[in-house]
Amino acid sequence: MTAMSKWTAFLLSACVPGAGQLAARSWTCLPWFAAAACLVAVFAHFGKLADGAAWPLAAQFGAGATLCLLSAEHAKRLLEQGQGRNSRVVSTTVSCAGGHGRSVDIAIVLTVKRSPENLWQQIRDLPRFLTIDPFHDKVIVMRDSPDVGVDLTLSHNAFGCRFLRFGRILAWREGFGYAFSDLSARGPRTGFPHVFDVQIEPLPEPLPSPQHSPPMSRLTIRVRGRWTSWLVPVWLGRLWIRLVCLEHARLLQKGL
Amino acid sequence: MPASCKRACDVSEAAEVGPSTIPAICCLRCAAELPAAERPAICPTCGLQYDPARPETYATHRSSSRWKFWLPGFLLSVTVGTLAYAGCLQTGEMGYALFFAVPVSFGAILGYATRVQTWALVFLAILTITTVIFTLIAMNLAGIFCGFTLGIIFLVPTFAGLLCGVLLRAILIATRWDHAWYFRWYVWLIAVMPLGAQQIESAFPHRHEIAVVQTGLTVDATPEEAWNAIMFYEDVQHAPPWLLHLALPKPIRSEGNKQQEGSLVRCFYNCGTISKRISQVQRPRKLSFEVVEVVMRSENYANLKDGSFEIEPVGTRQSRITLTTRYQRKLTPAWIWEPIERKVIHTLHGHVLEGMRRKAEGQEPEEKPKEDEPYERQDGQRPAPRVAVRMPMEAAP
Repeated sequence: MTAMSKWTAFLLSACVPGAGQLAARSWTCLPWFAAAACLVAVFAHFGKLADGAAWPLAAQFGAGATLCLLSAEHAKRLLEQGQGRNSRVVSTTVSCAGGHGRSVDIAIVLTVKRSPENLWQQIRDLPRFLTIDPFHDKVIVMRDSPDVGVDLTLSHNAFGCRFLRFGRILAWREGFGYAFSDLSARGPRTGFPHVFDVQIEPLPEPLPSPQHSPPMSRLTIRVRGRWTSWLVPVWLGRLWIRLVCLEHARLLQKGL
Repeated sequence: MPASCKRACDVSEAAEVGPSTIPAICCLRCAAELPAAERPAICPTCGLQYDPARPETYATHRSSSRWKFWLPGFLLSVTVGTLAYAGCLQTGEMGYALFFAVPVSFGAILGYATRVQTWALVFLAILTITTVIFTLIAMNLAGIFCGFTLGIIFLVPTFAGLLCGVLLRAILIATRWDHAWYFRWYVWLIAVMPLGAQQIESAFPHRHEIAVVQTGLTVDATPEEAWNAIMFYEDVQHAPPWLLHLALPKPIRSEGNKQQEGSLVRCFYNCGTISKRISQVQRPRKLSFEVVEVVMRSENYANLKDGSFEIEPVGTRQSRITLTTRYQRKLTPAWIWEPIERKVIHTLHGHVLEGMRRKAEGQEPEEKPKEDEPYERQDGQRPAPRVAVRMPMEAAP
């Protein structure tokens, strides 16, 4: 029996709060079902009080949509893998470099309680590390080992919709980082072409203290690309990428 | 000497060529067929790398988009459903062809033209019904309330058609017909089936039924006070129930003298007007009117005939008000639509009676009613027989 995809649980709970939790075999489906039932009862009672007025419909729709989205996000997080409480990530920041025109430039900086060598062993495992990204489902390195010029096939899964994107390792600095591209199958000029730049920097050791402090490293993941969609305005695209990076940072906290 | 069978055919070539053991491999990006190689290579078309020793780096079949398995069938089903409904509606008849043949038709197309799993088929059927309904509402071919009702009515015939479409496809595949060639013809036949059914239905004699709906309410007022509180739907001041919001045009006002026999009262709505002539005035017992003209931009699902207000004294300080509405039914089958029509008209009567009660008893218009449904439905209590007129078939030219 294959493991349930987190997006399947997301979509189930988006339709019926608690359904994704039930599919994930979590007891938390019960309070979500109860919350949905309470909301329906409130709607029915509120509808009578409103005496046929139209404005409560908007409030009811908003409340229902909010409950569904919250339940969907919770169901998705139930199926995420990661350590959670034992995370080695000390701090996380997501910053935008203020792109011009249609450019997008966002950086995720994490301070990790690992030595650079230890951290490098984690991030060089591309099929595992790159799938921490919220929309990267599977990563295939097209040669036996990653190196400059090696192609990548990046299977994306966004809200249950699967599609392939393709990239290439642009730079590989053993022990320090790498860079790779993420392009649409339709070509490098459409579908938000962007480049990931992953770098590790050792952090200076803190002042001597009675307790031995583990070595610290700074992991920087920089996403630079071009927003090519004409349907969605650039500012909204940057906002969306920022939200995705925030989610990515949260998943990195669990995954490292 | 080449090997030969009894007929002296050279079978050595057939013996040497065994079954194909190397399946064709395709590029993950461009789906081009990749040449057989023993070492890592690149796609000759797009340049994407692949490794014959690692199956995850190539595809074993031309990846066709999964959308092709359902999206064209879904779009075709929605298009056929919408156009068939619009086509059947042009004849003015709203009967079995419109409410059953149309959903069977687009359900059959969906079942025939899509190749998905069962759960996806069920989901697509519901999505198709919803999309057709929304399209009809957007094209002003149905109101919101009627659309919602249609969505429920369409469920069973759509799934019946879905099953027929799936069975047809299975039969064609089992009989090894070239269903790809016959695809267009079957789809055309299924698509025009509702129009054919509409023509057949129109050829049958129609039974024009006059339905009578009566609603009563006892108010704490004398008959004279109740008479002075007589009002039409357009004159009621408090907000109508949500059912009337959805099912009926929005009333604006009415003009004319309601107390004078023979006078014409014009009622204005957001999408047209209804003109009523006061046919009988027996103060303070009965006021009757007949509908002389209906000019509406929206779809008209019933022909209003006439109505009346009847007031009977109950004790010394109470009166019983009875509203009666007669209308000619247009929607068939009656066993589906008549309960809905009666519910709407009873709600309308209740709304008007509540307005009259508030005025007669001296209450504020914005006060809440005492009960959810204070009025009484009187259908069947007063024998007002339904008049059925059998229309003769039109003579052939």
